[in-house]
Amino acid sequence: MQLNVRVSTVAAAALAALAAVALGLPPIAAADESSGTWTGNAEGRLNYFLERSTRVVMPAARVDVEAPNGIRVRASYMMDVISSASIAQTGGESDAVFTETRHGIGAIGVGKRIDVGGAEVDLSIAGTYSIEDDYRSLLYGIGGSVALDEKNTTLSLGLTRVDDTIESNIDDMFSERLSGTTVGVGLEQLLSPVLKLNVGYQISYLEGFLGNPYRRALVGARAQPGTTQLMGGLPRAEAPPDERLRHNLEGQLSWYLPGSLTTLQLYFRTYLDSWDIKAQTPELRIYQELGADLLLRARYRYYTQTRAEFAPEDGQTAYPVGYDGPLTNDPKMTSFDSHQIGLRLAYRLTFLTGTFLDFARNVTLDISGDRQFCTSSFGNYWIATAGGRVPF
Amino acid sequence: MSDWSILVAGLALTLGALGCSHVKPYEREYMTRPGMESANEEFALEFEAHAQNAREGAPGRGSVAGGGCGCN
Repeated sequence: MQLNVRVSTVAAAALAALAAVALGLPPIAAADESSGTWTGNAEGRLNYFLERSTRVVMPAARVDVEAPNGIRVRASYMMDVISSASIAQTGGESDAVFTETRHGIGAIGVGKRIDVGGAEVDLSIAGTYSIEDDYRSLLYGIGGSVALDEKNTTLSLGLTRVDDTIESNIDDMFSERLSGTTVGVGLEQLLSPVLKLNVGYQISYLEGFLGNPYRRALVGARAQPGTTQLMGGLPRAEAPPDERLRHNLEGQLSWYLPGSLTTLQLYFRTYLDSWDIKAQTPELRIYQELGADLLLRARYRYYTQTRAEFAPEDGQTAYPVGYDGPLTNDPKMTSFDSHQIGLRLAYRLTFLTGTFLDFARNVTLDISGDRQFCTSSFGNYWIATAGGRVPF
Repeated sequence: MSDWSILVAGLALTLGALGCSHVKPYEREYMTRPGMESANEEFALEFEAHAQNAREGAPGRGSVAGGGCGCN
């Protein structure tokens, strides 16, 4: 299957700007005896996703640099290559194969920690620009945190804005906007030398076109004699409500067991929104240190959600005769649940110490794979990622 | 238990946790162990969060924003 990868003029200009930033930084993040030390990380990843009708390959890279004066800069780039299409994406009765590419360029322009009256305050701004043939997205925000009580308590606050333009490759006249604002607050609290609590709450308001220009919902279906299953109907363009208010509350307990070098993470999230979708997500992660350089992480995640109030009734895939409300054919608007299991291995290359590759002794390589079993019409999927992280 | 009850209980638990302990700086050696500090996994999990946002009605960890990728 031929992959059709195109880099637009805008993306090329953005990449050039990114390169200029990188090149403009000191060529080596080396120690500066007079004013401190440049530090940072560079990370490259290759991500892979496979479900019944969709395959996604996403290479990504990110660089973090912190200057001696405490200012941080982050730059990232990802390329999302979708080499097939799912039924849910096209709204048809069978797969329509196509290839599309999304480029995402992100940079946290400024981040800095400052001391204010004994408390440590951290401020940052961030932005990401994503483009593909029929979609452009600008995501930007500011964030701040304050560490109190000798960093036993850290409070954080963030504001994020998204402005998207949605077009259609099958309808030149189609052009809609999506915009949203998200406010999030967070708390990190040390409970003991081995126990930490993280809690977060986010509220988000979205408005504009919140559907998919390619999906079609079936309207005017009728129940077959002797059954309640609706069949038939005529395809109509998706038309979900043009507003959505979302609430998300999550908490995590991290507990380190020194005797066995094990960390347990218990995570729980509850979500509800104005479309009447309610979701819960419990997750357990176990991190096991296997020696000084090898880490194994296992996880189990469960997800369950109710359907949107305007989605077809459970068990139905169409709307009945006489229905005149919002329309959707989006599988993520239905009620379903999923189970996900995964493993991750990370290995630090300290064995290179003293060899001709000594400069790479702090590099960490990792690989992970997850399998999700899902009852929605999306079906099950595999997801994997492999990468390396280089501190400097 | 209603959803709003869960939210209120969560906030109450959070407020109750505040100020319950004080861990001195020299007692925090374990706070940098893998799993206690999630920053090293953050980039690796971004792709998974993107996949979840495209397939689930509720967004992934730490985010409730919408849009950004045409994944609706």
